[in-house]
Amino acid sequence: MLGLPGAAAYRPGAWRLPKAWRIRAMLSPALKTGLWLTLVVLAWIPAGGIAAERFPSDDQFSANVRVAFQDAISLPAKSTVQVYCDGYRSALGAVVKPDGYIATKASELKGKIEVQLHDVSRKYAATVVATDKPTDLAILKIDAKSLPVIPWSDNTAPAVGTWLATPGLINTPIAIGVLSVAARKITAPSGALGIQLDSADDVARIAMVIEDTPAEKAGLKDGDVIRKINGKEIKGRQHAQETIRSYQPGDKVELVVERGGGEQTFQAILGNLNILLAGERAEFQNSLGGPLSERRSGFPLAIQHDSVLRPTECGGPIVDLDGKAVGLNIARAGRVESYALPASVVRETVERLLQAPLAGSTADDMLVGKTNKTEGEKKVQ
Amino acid sequence: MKQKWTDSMVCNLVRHAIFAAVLWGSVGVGYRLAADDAATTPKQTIAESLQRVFAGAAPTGLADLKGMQSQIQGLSEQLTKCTVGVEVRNAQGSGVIISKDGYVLTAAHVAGEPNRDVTFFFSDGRKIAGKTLGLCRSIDAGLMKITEPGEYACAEMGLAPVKEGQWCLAMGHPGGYQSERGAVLRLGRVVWLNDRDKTITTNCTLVGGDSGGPLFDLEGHVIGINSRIGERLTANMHVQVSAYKENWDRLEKGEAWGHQLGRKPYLGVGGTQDTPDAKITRVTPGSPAEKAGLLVGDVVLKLGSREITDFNSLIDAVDAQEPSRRRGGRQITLQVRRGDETKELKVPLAFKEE
Repeated sequence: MLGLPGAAAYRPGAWRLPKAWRIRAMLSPALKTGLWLTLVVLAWIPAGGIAAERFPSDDQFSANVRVAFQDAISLPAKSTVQVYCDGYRSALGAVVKPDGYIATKASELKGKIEVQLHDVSRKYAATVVATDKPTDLAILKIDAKSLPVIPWSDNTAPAVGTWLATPGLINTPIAIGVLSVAARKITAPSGALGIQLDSADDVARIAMVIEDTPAEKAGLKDGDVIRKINGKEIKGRQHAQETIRSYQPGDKVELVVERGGGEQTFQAILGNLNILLAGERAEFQNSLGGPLSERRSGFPLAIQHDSVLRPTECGGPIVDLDGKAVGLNIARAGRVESYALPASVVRETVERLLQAPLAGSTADDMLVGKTNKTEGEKKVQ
Repeated sequence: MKQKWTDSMVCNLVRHAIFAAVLWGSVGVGYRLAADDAATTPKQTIAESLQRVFAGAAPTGLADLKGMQSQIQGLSEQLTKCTVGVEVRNAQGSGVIISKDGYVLTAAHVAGEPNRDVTFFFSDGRKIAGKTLGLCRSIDAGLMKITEPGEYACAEMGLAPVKEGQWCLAMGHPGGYQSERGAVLRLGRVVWLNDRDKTITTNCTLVGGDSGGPLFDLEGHVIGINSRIGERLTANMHVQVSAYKENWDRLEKGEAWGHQLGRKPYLGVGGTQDTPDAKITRVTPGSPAEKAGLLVGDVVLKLGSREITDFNSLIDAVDAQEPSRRRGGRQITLQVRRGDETKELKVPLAFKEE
């Protein structure tokens, strides 16, 4: 007697793999090219069962390599600080002026803020002097003098493949990696309703309401024609798209639609276009291996590297093998990516932010490292 | 988050994944690409101490790290040029060009089927057409070809055996090809080798869209193709490049064979090998065969359009099916002889699930 393939060879219970293995296609970010239904695939296999024996944590795996970076980070580590919020480690930071000014990641800050310096056990109470929405930078001030300022790199375009180390308060880096992608703009996700519009240009007619989206929850139906969004007359297909995308995820919009000769009004809370396109599968895959920063997009310029950071390990400097900071870690953005604001962006932003509270002061203007005095150019962007 | 896996389930799955006898034998026909056809990776002399590091030794200090860095920086441009974004129907993934005339290695699950139209996205913004060739689904190896004649930047496939601890670079288009970003470089080491399922596991992190992209050694040879991930950051699996070489002829000819793990089609009947027909001696309760009304004693004459001559040919015919991705699989027509009657039964061919 011989079983057909699969009939006898496998024990029952061993076959739940199909669901996991089934390729979870995720809708791609290729909306630009109009490919609404483009899929991106990567099989996901639940490898947890062998994890214990065969997959060390990334931390364990790279431990002996991180030791080799000790000399590179010895100096910048002295300018690295630990930021506490309500007693919890919430971010790292970099000393940007000797008299107690520290740059860090703004969106991780809340509650009572304290700062711990390298090789000093005490914590300093800190105040937020300024924040900058586009870069997500914050400047903290502590009551301290003669702090070692982070040495910035003058290399404005480090090459892909450059080793990068993230110092913490200890003498080996907390993370290492290489530069994956040169500096680029990281666009913010835009709002999305979850509809596909008819191909007709002169009217915003809904061809399809996608299941389980804000549009469906709001009660929109196939065939509805969008007339107004938040009171604004909608002139056609493209206008409707642009208007929706000008909002952010979480924004509330009021839609006036034409249905069966009459007009009806609906309320919708917009979703995230990236997630809608890429699917929750993409979100899921990206979160495999660790949590991501809440704020992880919408940066004017960022380099991408493959160091594995926790969200609470952002905000501090990231340095090259010469111990110079090429940037400031600003987000853990996905399974394969962390972002850092380039040194030039951090320096300019810090300078701009400090000019406001320190208006008129020139003596304090010696901002970090080798700043070429070009105050005039940098006042307003 | 919609994860519903429990640890014990996962254990079972993985145990299964490892021990399932998926024996798609290498046909031993060897891979033939004239050396002068393939080699465009720049040759560099690498100091012996550095070679030791590339092969898996931990770098001991800044000198080693700088040596590695200059090697990687020097390679990155070339590696970017031969890494392509791949679009096949609705799927987006990655691939790597391994010959001047445009053979592209990718993952089977990116290609899907042989002879499909492909658009390749190059680092310089070009879009070039091609076709999918063969694929072995069980090891997730796929081959494609750029059909527009030309001379393409390419990487060589590695010859040396891959070693645990060895340093490596992964490239690909995570999240799909993005013109303003291009291919994304990651550095890591080989965590372990699994020769049974032909994979290399590394801590070069991968995510959706990377599938089909290359894993290089630090001299720029392709040693693997990105395939799948587990939860841990050290669980990134790549198909060993040797699997492509061993199956080169079948891949080049456009054959599709094997089944993706857990996607083996299943009918649920037993029979005997020594009879001259495919007579059913057992119908598994709850199986697609039972649902379709197949009875013990039926003789299968046809499955779809395939003539069935004996039980072995029935096995082959079922095995050749690729159940659809829809839940429950696809319906297939089974022609059987029952007594004096010839009947047609619709079978919901499925993956074997519990």
